[in-house]
Amino acid sequence: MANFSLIDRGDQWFELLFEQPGSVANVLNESVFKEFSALLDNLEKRSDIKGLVFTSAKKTIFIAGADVNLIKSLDTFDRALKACSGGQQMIHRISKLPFETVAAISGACLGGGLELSLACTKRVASTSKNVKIGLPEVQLGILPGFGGSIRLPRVTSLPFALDMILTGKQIDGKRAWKNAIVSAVLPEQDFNKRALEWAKKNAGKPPKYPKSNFMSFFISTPIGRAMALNTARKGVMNKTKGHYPSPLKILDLLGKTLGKSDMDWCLEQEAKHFASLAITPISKRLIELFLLTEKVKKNNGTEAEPAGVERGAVLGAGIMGGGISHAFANIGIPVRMKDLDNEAIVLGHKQAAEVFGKRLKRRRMTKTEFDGKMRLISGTQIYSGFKTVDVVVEAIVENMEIKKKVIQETEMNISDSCVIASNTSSLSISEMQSVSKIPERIAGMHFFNPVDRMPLVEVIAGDKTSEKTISTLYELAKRMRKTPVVVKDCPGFLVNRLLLPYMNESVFLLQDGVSIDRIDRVMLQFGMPMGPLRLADEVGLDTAAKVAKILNEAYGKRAEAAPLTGKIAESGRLGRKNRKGFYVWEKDKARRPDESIYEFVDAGGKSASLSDEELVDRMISPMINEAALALQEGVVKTPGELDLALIMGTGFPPFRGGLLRYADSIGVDRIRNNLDRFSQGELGERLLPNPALSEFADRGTFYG
Amino acid sequence: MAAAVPNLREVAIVEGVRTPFVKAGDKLGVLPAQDLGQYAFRELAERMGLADGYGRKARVTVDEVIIGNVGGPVDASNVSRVISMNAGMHKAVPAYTVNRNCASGMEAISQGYLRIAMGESDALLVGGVESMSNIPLLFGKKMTELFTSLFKAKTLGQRLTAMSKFRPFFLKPVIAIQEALKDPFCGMNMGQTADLLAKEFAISREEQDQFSIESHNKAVAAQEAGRLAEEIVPVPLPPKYASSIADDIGPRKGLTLEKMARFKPFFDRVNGTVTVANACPITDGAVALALMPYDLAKERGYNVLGKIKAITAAGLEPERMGLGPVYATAKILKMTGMSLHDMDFIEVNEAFSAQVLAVQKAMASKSFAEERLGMGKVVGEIDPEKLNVNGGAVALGHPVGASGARIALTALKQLQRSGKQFALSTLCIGGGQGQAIILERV
Repeated sequence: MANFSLIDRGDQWFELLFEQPGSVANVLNESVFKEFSALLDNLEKRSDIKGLVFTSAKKTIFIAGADVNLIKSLDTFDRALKACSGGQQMIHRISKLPFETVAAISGACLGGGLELSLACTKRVASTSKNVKIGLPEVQLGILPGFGGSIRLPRVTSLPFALDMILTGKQIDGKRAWKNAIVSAVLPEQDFNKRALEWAKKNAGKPPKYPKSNFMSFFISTPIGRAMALNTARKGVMNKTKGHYPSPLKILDLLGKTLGKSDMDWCLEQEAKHFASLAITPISKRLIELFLLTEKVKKNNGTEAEPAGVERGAVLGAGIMGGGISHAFANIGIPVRMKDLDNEAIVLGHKQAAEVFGKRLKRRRMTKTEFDGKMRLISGTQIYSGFKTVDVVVEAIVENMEIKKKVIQETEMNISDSCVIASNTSSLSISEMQSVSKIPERIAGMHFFNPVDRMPLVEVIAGDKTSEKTISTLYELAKRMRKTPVVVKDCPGFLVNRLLLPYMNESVFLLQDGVSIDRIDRVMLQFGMPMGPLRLADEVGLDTAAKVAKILNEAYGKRAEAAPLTGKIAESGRLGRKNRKGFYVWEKDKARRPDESIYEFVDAGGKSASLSDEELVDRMISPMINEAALALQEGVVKTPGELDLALIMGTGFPPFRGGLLRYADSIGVDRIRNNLDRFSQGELGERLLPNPALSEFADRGTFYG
Repeated sequence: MAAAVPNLREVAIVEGVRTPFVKAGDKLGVLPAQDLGQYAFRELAERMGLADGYGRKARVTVDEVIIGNVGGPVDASNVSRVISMNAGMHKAVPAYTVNRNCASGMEAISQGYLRIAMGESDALLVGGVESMSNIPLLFGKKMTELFTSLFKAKTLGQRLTAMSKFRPFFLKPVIAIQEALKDPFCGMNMGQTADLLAKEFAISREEQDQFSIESHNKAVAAQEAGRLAEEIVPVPLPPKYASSIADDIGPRKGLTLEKMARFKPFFDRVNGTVTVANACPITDGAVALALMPYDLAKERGYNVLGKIKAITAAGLEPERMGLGPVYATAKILKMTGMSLHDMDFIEVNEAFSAQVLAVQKAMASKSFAEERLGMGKVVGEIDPEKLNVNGGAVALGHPVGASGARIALTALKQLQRSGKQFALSTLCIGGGQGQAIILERV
């Protein structure tokens, strides 16, 4: 046997040790299922067995789940149904074995891994921090199809099961024990042995039950159940705006199967619901996105070995500097925060304390942890401590001359091996390198605001940046639990370069008679986390204007701002920061569109009559146009990276799979036609389809 | 007197930094000693390039951390170890806390000096810390006994019996800081010992008030000229970290004798002259210094602050503890064969104005030298121009565990600024001691 070994542990108890050869993880794939099936044939006939404990020989993983590529390959309903039922039935056979079964969860126990465990009589988990128990299927646009959707609500309380299945969140052993998903939590030392001893000692005893009180009784009644599901549905709609079918399908399934005792029928329903989800393009896109992020985790951006970062420094303790300092401290790296005076430095401290404070308040961290993290951030006005840092992230004012001066000043205070990363959003890295004595060590590391919530980091290579510098920053970003994408040095880099035509176009539409709320609403409906005008307010209209100017100088006509932009700037609007922008801001919330802007616009403009769909086309098409060019220029290497960057950096709807995936799905040719149509009218040059787009349109797709 | 030991290494104070000194109960009160001390020690390590990083394998950059502290925090009883770890020192760096009462910070220097001179250590972080804001109130003996019997009680009956012994006055707290400032031998409060000196040395209320005003004026001038900022690292204030403290809170502008006269004698309310205004305020603060063998520090390219010429302590009668500097100075001058004239600057910690004035008088007194010190000649006259040139504890405050290191740091920085050579720093110690250090610029 390749994957499993059945070991006699005395007293008629056996251990089934799962150790997938040649892999760090245990994954449920076809060969595993095949072997497991044969094993079950044998086990079902054994009358000499009193009990069986499932264990893993992997260090950090119990069972990581089913093979994602397998799910991705399911292309028809029937094949999906067959594949799902096959695994589901196999796992169902565990529940019917004529002896007790115990899953010894020693590490990650996700998806199919948890579903297998749920089919056992009992489960125990280790105290190890590697224990992550969860059903992440929903994040891939599917649902737990190996019995998990049916069994979890029967093991734990319905609200908790809903929370786990609908969000895919992962919990540790203690939390699982509190919610009766496991019956005991045992020390991680010699865990498998302890699990076996526990199983023998507790043979015949029932598993832990969830706490029962009035609420749990109420929820077990048909009315209570309906109410719980209804509340959950409202929550889902609120969060996803109905763009994601899988959580809704999960609720449908639970509505049908909860309280039903016919297990075979329930499982059949589960498989059918699974199959209908698994073949949707949304699921395929989400899986692809997942694979892309996994790929990011596995590489370093370049071939070079990264230099380990053990001490960091940040220049400029503003919102970004404070946020980046937080990112360092959050992963345990001591960080020196330099600014010109003490008042500036304390702003950085405050910024970091606010973010940690939120977690403290939500009890995601203890007071001791909070104090410990905050201690890692220390201020200086004189570069003290810089001699021993491994990386300096520059987050000062966006002014090339000042940046050059500061880079030279910094170089006098750091070691030769120290990397300098600029958090610039649009200035040229290559130009910064021109003043450095060691230009290879300079690169861009563009975090997005707010740093703690935006997952993307653009790692920008200037002309002379070394591969080692890139891989060091790439690795650092990964440690900060960010998604790094390596980008070539061009004005606006990737995300801002693509975002600008989109945001510009939204102002052109406003100028031409479309209302502020309508513009933002159609993009919200499209799936963006916020509309373009609201986003401009968040970014700050002055900041946006600054970036726009740089990009306009670099790209000419196609990055030209609407005349309205100038008028808005003159009216003293800065957006959220002075509570005056496209919206009226009250108490840090965008209350309502600022109607006084309409005096600048042509209320009878032609665009007012455009349909919602046309409005989306007008705003998205220029973005795709620019993306084609960026891709051809090699700003990023693959369409996948471009899509990943846009999803992680702007919140471009994941269910659409990214900008280029979206373009492919509606047809690049159609985009070209749109642009042709737009530019032939009075809209003119800026919307002219560029040769790169035409090339992709001729080819048919971006992804190929 | 100890005989000279050959081959002792010269010891350098390489660098030093402190937190602002802030009156107890003011803004630094949010930081217990272990957190307050962290700021000074982290910054010192950073400036020295000795700070450790994340996961760096066994980067042990210092041999020991030694910190003076008097009011040991109950949740960090070896506060030195806690500060060391909080400041990011490697876990393999050992740490211990020393207590020589008001001179604990100087005793930490003394310990480090010996370790380095003898060749036991090559790099030490020493200093002192005190958060007098955080010295707790305690339950009295009666209440403690009641708790003990309650813990022992097993049955409800026993519990009720224990409870029935409760009387409301049991709840009257023992104010630990008051107890700490009371001499355990003569039962006098520290302020009362200062009043005793004022009477014995015939020091008037006006003299004391005038001395205090000068202390404030000198401190304010030093603050405005940025001389104090040179030794201070700003401290951001938890839990919101929305503000920070970068300057000492203590020195006051525009004090006059009239204003000073408004304060009533605090310790001896009938015949006393010592008031809260002419005594040092209780204060929070921390000081950190780095010690190395002088040759090694030079070799590593450090810009050394100065060398320790000698350091020593002396004892005297507890009720006159304020005269401790006289005894310690007499001893250290004898050890080094130097005289007060050789000193370019003299720091005498200002526990009380009366006490410093008494020290000056005693040092210049032939009869005191003969009767109390058994010396044929006076210890020496302190030139007021050399004394506490940047103000003293009356203005800056006296975080008891930290002051001994503060007056060494201040003296060294002053030598650096002025290009002069020698400084003496000395302080009186509750319980009847004095300690002194002679520093030399290189």
